[in-house]
Amino acid sequence: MRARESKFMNMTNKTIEPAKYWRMNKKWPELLGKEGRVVAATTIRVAPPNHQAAAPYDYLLIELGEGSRIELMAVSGQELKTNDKVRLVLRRTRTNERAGLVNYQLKAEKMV
Amino acid sequence: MSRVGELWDKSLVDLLTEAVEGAVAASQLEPEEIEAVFVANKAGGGFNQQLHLNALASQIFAHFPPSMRVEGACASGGLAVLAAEQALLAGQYQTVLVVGVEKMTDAGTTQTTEVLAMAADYYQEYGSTFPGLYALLAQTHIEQFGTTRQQLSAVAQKNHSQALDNKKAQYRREFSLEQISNSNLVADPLRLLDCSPISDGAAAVVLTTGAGEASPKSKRTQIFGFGHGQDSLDLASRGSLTELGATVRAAQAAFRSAGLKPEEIEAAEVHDCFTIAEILAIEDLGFFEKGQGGPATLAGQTGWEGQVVVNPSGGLKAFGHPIGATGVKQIAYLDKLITEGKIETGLAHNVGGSGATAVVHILGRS
Repeated sequence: MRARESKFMNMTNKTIEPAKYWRMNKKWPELLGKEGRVVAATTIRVAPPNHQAAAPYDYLLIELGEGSRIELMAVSGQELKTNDKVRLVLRRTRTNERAGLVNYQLKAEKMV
Repeated sequence: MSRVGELWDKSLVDLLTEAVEGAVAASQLEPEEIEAVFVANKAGGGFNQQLHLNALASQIFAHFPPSMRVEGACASGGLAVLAAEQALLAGQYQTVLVVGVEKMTDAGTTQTTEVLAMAADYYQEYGSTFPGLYALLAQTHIEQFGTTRQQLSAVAQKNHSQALDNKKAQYRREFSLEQISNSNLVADPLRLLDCSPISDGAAAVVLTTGAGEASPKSKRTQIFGFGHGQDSLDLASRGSLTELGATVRAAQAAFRSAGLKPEEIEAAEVHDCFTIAEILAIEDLGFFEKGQGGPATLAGQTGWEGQVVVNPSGGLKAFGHPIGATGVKQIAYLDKLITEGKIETGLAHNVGGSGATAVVHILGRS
């Protein structure tokens, strides 16, 4: 597995890349728990290598209010469509790697 | 132009050399008259473990002309032509060669997917794919304008049909609307036959500000105008999901510099990396009103008998999409149609990524 396949780990030697991890996720505190509306949605059935274990999954463009928009993967097991209300949550990222650290990422969860 | 396809017997350098030598021979110039070389290539490093392509291109010539590589994802070809034009117009050179090349099929599917994804915003679009990003654009177009599955399929059907006349096309076979509409889903609503293929290929053109005495006057094509537009790399930062702003800006600049209007264009090679991309393009370029690209395509308005023939080569969809070569081969194919007397004016539209970069050229008989 190539190093880029994990968000924050060097999979070759199983060491964490803290600087990259921080850069990718530094907006978590301000985004976590925010609510928004789905502007556009698709189901990705042919996934990139680092997300093949999660496929098929929904990929969304979300309006967070005041003109702010974000693109995110959706929480698995939910069918999302335009105008659905969502909340941003942390969820474990499925990877093809069995060993190593557990990855988390910001995802969109449907509000019911 | 080389043939486009899965060319297992040709290396990156073989393709580069074939295109350069072919273009120099067709120009009827002596090789030493080429003063500089501009090379378009997206990912020689990722696909072929080969960078420094400007040196490889220069060393095809005995006099080692100055050479540089230009990269702008799938718009690399259009940008390289643009860079060459700017050098010519600045008076730095009088005659230059632009070559685009990509050798994609040596890499496995996983590696290819990874390399292609580098043209999206890695941080802001984590988890996306290019079919996924264009699927979001397609969903929005469908919801706002009622664009239908059949209209998307009509784009692919037309382009495959038109590629039958192009001996260098990757897929010279026809597909029915039903075959396209029932092919496997890749990212809803886009299906396998909505997508352009992975391709090997190369194309080169010679540009000159000289009189071009080497070629008979009837065989000369002139670049009337060009434009270049940019937008945000990620879709979330765009002002609109139903138009590509970069294309609109590039087209406006190109038409302004050419002194022409969309209705004066007879043929257009547009960037149909996905079927929805062609529908967006023919609207953003001004050929059809927003929302009318789908109905116009289904009604045959983008075929040879229609208002403007779109992708007479078969486009990226059927001619193929050897990324770095695409923007150059569009211009080379229009030049072929112009010199054969099939059209008087043509437009080439080359896009990078999900629409962040766009280059438009307008050509015609001199």
